Amino acid sequence: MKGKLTKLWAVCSMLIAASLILFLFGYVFVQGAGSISWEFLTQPPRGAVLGMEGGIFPAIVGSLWFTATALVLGGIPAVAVALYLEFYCRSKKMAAFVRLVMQCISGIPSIVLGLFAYSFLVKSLGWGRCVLSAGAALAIMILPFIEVRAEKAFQEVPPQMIQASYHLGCSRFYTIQKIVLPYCSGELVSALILGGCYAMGATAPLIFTGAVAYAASPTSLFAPAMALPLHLYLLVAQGSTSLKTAYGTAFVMMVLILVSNVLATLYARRRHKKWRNG
Amino acid sequence: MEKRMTIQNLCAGYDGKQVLHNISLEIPSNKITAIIGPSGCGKSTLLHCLNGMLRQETGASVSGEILLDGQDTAAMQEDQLRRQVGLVSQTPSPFPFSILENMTYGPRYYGVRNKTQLQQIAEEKLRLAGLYDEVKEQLHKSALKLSGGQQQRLCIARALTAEPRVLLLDEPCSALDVQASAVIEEMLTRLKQTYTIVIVTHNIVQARRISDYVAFIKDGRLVEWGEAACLFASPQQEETRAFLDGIYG
Repeated sequence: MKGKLTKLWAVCSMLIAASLILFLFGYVFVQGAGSISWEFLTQPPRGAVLGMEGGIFPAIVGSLWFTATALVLGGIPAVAVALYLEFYCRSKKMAAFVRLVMQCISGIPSIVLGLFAYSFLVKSLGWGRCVLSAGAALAIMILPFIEVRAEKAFQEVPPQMIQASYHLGCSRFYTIQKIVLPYCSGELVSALILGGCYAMGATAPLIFTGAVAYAASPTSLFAPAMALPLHLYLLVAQGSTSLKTAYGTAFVMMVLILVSNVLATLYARRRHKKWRNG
Repeated sequence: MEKRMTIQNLCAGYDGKQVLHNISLEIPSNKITAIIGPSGCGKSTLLHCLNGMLRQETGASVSGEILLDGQDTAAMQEDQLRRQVGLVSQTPSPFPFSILENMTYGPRYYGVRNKTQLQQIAEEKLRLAGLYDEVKEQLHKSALKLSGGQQQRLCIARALTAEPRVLLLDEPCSALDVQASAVIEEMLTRLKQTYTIVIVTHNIVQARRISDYVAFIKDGRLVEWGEAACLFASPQQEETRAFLDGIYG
């Protein structure tokens, strides 16, 4: 009886969770699909109230710039920290300390990261509001996110395979390059893409540091840019006049994130198959 | 008897717990030395001392002297030592590449770039391991598709690509059936003409069949060692006799 109840509870919870997600996606897609057009995707926003008409092209490009910058600035050190912890660090105390730092970073509210980047990068260092300042704030935000996943991926490499490489007299670096990274490439790419999605959806770190209400598509790291989440926020804040385009923006964001996720999963699965089943 | 390795007063342990106590042993050239003993007696730890891997482990401590052709291994570069004292572990661990790529993994690291040369090394070592005829048509097939015994022979062939002076084998047949073990035993007997072999085994019958010298270790102490024929025929120590008679192990 107890077992049945538990099972019923589990199934109900799963159904509720799944239907909530489906409803959410469906709702946004139904509401947003109407405003999607070639013009919406390729034109800058226009209108008496900005964004009421026209498109979101600079916001899409801007978001891609922010995400790419964050991935370069955050992803590379994240993977390096994970490699260090897994393959180079021989002191347990040091490893515990680094993990603590990572946990602390992941606990920082994103608005605080924005504030920090604003006062330090934008003001003190004089970078100004630009893609680079905002990208740096996002990078700090996604660093622990990627690091944890990368470390987990490295831990899954069969130790005997790594040992076999060492036993041939090969260096740690060669082993990492030839065995570890290719073995984990699926998980690493998926961690980076998920980190990218996380960065793409974040608004708080961008508000003071690089994202603006209106700008042309950026051409350099030192230019400010529009971003999808901030644009969405501004459209909703303007009231009912631009709600339709707001849903359109949400639609584009969700499609971008969904497609990235699916691609990451497919890639990870393919690599997995190749490396684990021969 | 020409010595390849000399172990003097070797003590080793992990995290403050001593596993090997004061071991002194000689490994003769071009012979098969079997290290036998009950499970958990420190046989594998001894192998990991010989190729320097233990020194690299967190929390491990090693003292005493290990000489390779008269040269102190502690003074050698770690990767150089591992290259000269190859180790094949218990479970076959082929890389998830093709057979050929498994064979050229080491040589590429040592700087061989020429494709013909790489192919030659692969062929030569596969022949030595008695695997070439079985796989010559499928060198580009994934090594993971081979049978357990073939995988283990591939791992031995791969270890040979490093041109080691000593080949350490950690219970290489424990995961294999009788037939696959017999093929490996026969191969090892051939290989000793070129290489010095140290094999850890809990299989006394196997040790009796293939070894020239035997060392018996119990509770991390070397009880006795010597020529296989002598030791098996008339062990000097009571403990060795009991082990060989199958009283424990």
